Amino acid sequence: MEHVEFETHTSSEYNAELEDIRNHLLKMGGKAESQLRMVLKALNENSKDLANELLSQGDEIDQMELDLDQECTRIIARRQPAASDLRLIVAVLKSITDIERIGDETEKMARLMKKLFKRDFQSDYYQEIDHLGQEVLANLSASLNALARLDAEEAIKIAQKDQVIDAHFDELNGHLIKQMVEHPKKVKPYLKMSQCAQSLERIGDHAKNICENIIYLVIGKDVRHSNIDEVSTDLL
Amino acid sequence: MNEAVLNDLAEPKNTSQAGPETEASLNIEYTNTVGQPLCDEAKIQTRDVNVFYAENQAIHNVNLDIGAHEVIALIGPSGCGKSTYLRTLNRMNDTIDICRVQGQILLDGEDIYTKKQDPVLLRARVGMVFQKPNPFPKSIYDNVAYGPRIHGLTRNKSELDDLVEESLTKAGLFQEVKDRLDAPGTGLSGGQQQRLCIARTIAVQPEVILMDEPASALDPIATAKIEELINELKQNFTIVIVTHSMQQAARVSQRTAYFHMGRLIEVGETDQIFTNPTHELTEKYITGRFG
Repeated sequence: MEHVEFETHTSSEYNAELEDIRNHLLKMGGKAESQLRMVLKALNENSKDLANELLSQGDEIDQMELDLDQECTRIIARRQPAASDLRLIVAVLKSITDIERIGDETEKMARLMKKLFKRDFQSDYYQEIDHLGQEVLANLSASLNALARLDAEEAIKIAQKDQVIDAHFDELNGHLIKQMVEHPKKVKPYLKMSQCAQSLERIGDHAKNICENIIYLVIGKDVRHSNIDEVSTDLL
Repeated sequence: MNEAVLNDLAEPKNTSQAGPETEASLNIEYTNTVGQPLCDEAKIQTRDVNVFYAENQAIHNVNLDIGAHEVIALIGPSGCGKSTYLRTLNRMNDTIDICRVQGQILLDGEDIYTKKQDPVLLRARVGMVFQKPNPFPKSIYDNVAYGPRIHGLTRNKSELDDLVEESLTKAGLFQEVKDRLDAPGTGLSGGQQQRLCIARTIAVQPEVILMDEPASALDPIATAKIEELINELKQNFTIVIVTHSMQQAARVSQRTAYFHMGRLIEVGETDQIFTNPTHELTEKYITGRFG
């Protein structure tokens, strides 16, 4: 397993530009991570205020996406990046889409929770959603750490863990569907809980996409749509 | 990246230090060329090629195939030996007294450095286009007709006219000059002069065209025309192009060979070289970390 070294370019300005987009990407990822943490806290504390606070943060992540898009486009136009620089730009452009969608999913969860809290709906499955959420949060944090360290080996391991998250989601969703069948009058709230779980599962998928982008950036291999266990066997 | 290559890569280096780069300063442990220097349908095969200028060795043990009908770009920092290597392919180095070439260079399997090989005939088969357009101080027509005349490629004026027109057309110049074929070639613009030189090269019906930075003295539009021309010429010719423009190499070639300090470091599909080069030196050069 090799690692990309970002040594100094002949052009220090170019070097600074690439360093900037990496830093801005990590900042954007950190923002999405904190939003996920906040929405899980809102769930745990049954807090409509926290859900509202998250929603009030509005388009901060969207704006970061637009800014990074613009920075990457400018670097492509002015520098014509190649090799690891090109892969960095491609990986950043792809990752910001994933991070922006993570932001959207947390907002969607906050809106669903507000509705659930409004009806004061009680269920043991909140805890299960929180468990799933903590797993997803851990994977997202780890993927952002791997991105900061450009650690493809770690990225492969994190991507593999998404399979566990998917399995937990399937199990949880099965239970929620069963509740809907058994309690037809509570279909709406259980459906909202199921949608929350789906959002978490999707955030997990986006974290996995970020890992795939890291692998592409560091090793130059496109592992999307590949069996991650086979990728692990091949590359580790 | 395979293990052997990884083992050959040196520790991370500080390339920001001032001063000339040497193997020691870059901490290079030279290894065999990585990638695919050889190919199945080779037009030219070069084996263990070493080139010396007096006591100085400019090229070290290069093994490289030039595939038939491919465009291969030779890239590398100034003084890396890419032009020297290019000039070995049609014995242009013969004109330099202190230059000595060792190894085998085979054109269609035949050694071009044997005594029985006439360099003039060789250069008709392996033509060359230089960095600076160098039309003869003759008319446009005579510039193109010169080669066919001395090689006796046509039987009469009518055939020569046809060959001149065909060559100028292939070089993408005929429409621009058809009404002034008697005008001096030196009166054309830089881009037109370079296309005239390409027409002159094509006129002797070579099999291989060597291009030594053919667009470096041209503006972007003239450069685009030359690149478009290279794309069309590859149907009929094998083209080896030396260029300092990474983007040009990426645009026009199917394979790219990276030279560094007289050694062939890496050869691969152009797409791979520019997105995911195997060797650290290639990576550093094409990303502008030195050179």
